[in-house]
Amino acid sequence: METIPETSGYPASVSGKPELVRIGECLYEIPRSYRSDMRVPARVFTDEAMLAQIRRDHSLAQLVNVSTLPGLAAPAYGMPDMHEGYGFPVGGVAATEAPDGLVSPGGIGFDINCGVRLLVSSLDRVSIAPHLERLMHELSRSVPAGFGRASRQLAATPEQMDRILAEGVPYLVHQLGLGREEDLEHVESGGCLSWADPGEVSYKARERGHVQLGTLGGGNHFVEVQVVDRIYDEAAAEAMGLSLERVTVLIHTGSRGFGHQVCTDYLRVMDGAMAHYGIVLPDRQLACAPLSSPQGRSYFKAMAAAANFGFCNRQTIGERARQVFARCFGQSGALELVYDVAHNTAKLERYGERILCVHRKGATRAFGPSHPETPKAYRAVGQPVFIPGSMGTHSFVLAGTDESAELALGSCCHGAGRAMSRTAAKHMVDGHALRVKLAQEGVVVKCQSSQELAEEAPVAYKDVEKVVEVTHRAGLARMVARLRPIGVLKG
Amino acid sequence: MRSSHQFEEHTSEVKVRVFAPTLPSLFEEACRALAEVMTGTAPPRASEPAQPIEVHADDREALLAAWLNELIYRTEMDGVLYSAPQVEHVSDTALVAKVGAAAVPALKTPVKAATMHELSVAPLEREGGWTASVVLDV
Repeated sequence: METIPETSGYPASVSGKPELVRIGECLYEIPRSYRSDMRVPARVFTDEAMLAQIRRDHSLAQLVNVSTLPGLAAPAYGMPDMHEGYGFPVGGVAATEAPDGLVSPGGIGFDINCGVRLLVSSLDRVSIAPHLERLMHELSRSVPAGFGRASRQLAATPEQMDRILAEGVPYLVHQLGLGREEDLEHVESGGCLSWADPGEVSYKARERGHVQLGTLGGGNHFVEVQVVDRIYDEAAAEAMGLSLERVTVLIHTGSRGFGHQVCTDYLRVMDGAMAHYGIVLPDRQLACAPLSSPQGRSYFKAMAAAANFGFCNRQTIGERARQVFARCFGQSGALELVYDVAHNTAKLERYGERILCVHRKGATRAFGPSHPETPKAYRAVGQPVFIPGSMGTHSFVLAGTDESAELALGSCCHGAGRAMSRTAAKHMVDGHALRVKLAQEGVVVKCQSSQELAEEAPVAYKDVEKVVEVTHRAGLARMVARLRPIGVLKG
Repeated sequence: MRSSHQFEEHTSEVKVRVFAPTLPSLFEEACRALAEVMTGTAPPRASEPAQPIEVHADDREALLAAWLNELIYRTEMDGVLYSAPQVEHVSDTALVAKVGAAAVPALKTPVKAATMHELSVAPLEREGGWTASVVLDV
């Protein structure tokens, strides 16, 4: 058994805000010298204006805490949308070296394989406009949203669950007829993390998950119908089938209660195992174990099963959207899958001679044109990346760059990032008035609770356009197109 | 001291601080706070028969997280809100309770999990009683 002997004891507490050194146009560093227990520097991709926002919460201190994990193989990175989370900041990337480096459930989060899928139609805004109400109504009937709205009718049998967890999207496409062969090329990792093992998953997780396939969940999850309203990169947009006024469908959700339970279960396992491996950390939520340990191996296999469930969840919702579009528009309503990409995972990836376990918590994989995992259709432009805006605001399509591998282990931002707590948003925003305002802007919103609407109001988030601009300027990914929502089904 | 709870500022999640005169009442109050996060208001009166719940953990703090995570799991599975707890026994590593539930048509805020970030359970030296702090992933 590999143990990790080197620990520095409990770290000195952080006094004041960390000092950042500017080391690039949009890159700042907290050097190792800032705190004695840091093992690598912490780097943040941001600019001066956004840095002021980042400094308002505890995300920098949390990134410093991440940099104390034993055996990190690269700096701890903060993406431009970084904000305070629990343990890891949201918008954090950290890599350890396989086979003995650490894996930390907290570095992935409870919503394992939360991610985004984009489909594009051949319809344009004008042709869809008269049918929008009906379309949104049908979507809201086809995709269960919110907490506890799982349908028993959708229940997967134990055998189906086993295969979903082990085989992912290929099983849905080949055995259940949910999707097309060509979809598989356009899902990250082909929609299946091959090392998944359903045997490492608890009964509780299965119990939660088997009725949740094809459900949206709550919080900031959504299905949006949008139109392409701006193109930044013609060639990349064309490769992705995007042109001005074209109607798209964006799906943002994850592995639901299944993934939450896997994380809960293994956080406890790791928490109990840390003393055995001599690991001492400044935050219990960072609990981790070596990938080669029994606990680390079990978690990594269970996490992959949850990731497969997440891919399958978005595949199922995508199929429901295809069925609704077919009912509303016949053959002209066909939806092509542009791509499906995760923003809460840990994966083994090759960087030069090293195999690294890259944790992305609220960070999107953004591989460039020459990466072997970039699908054939995007070899000239880079892997598609989708950055959902806050509700009712624009979302963005980007393309990964080759330089992002060097800059941030092939990663970029994942969303707008919260700037304000839910409580503060609720006090500031009148949910009913927001609903009226969105309706006046031509956005059809399906969300039962006005209070919940207020908590997710655009004002509670950072300006997604600025986040994306910094991502572009930093070289992490290139801006391709902007999507404007016209229909929102809120989780 | 009466049991009470408050919600503290956190950019993306919900941070709960709980006060109570005794350790059992602290765990009971944490259950009520969780129910309030889920409904967005004071939870309705329990209408479902109380269910026995038993949780174990390595220490007091982990026990609080395990207790809340069990309630989150049960709420999702049973489709009712566990809001009326009666803690019969609590030590540093085990808790035995009966919890009544309320039927609710929908829940406002889904809670993914109770995290171990800044998790604390501690006696109040000067005032007497207990306090706890937990961040919920919502």
